[in-house]
Amino acid sequence: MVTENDLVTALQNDKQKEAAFRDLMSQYKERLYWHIRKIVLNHDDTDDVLQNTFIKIYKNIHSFKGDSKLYTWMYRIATNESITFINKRAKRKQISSEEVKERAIENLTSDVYFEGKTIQIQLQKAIATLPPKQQLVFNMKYFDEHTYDELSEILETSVGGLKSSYHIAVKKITEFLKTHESGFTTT
Amino acid sequence: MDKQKYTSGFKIPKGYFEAFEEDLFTTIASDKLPKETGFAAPKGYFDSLEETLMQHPDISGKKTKVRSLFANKNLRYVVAVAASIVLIVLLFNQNKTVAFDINSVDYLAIENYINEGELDFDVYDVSSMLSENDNSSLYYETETISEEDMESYLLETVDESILLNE
Repeated sequence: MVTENDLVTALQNDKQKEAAFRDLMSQYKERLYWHIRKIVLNHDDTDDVLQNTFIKIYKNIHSFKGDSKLYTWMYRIATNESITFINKRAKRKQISSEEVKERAIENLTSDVYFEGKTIQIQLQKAIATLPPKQQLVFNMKYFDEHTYDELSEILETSVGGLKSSYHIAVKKITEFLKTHESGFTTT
Repeated sequence: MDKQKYTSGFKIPKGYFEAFEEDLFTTIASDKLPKETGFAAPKGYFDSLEETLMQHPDISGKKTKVRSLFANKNLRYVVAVAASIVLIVLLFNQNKTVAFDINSVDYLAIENYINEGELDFDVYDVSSMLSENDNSSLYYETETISEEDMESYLLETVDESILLNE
């Protein structure tokens, strides 16, 4: 398997760039897709953001200095692209970014690419009540099982701060689910 | 009580016992949450994604085909006549025309235009346009900002609620 350093070298070499980029896409497309999907919620929007993310990676790979790991750099781009996407939509529709998320959650029930049940919709509603940073920390820690050290590099936050964010997020989500029933029990 | 004669030599991370309880409660609480998000992707989506991206103009380097407006000869005459009419009208109304240059645009209007996200640039686009000399001059510019100015800027702009949530 190609090491990250070799991949970066190939990506920064004009002759090898295309083949290396294909390799990069095949390694990271699914991970980045699910990361973005948990932020923007809808498949078509995720597809747009994922394509923009890879285009940004392709166009800016020459400026990647290797100060961080390649995948944390890509996750940062994907996260920024997702947040920018939501903010732009909010501005265009003249509503808040929270309302953009609320509407996306309301649409989940009729989304053909959503196979969750009531509890999953309630979970998304609970996540949406968290501040944006806590949403990211919860999704990346709980669903993607990133370590705190990885999260610290991606989100540029201290491990202590991340742990505290995650504890608070779990507490708030549990409280939300308890008060909004849907068969969620804590016994 | 006497001091222990022998010690194991084992150590624990600083603050371990303080954080232990909270870590444990969080693990127990999160164990009860659903493990799946419920999101699905269309069948075959990931297989076709690479080809779709490789054909994107920004990656393939292929320019999109531009169709000339003047391919049709008749259209060329129509445009020429229309341009002549516009030119005549402008010449006859020369005294009434208002001088328009960049200085006449309100700075606030430009600022609003940028703030509203109409200018679709981000840090990656800007950095790709800068040369190394530009970068070093940028560092030089930021070095001249005093700590007092920086502190007052942060006090005015940073939202404390974000910090408290972390």
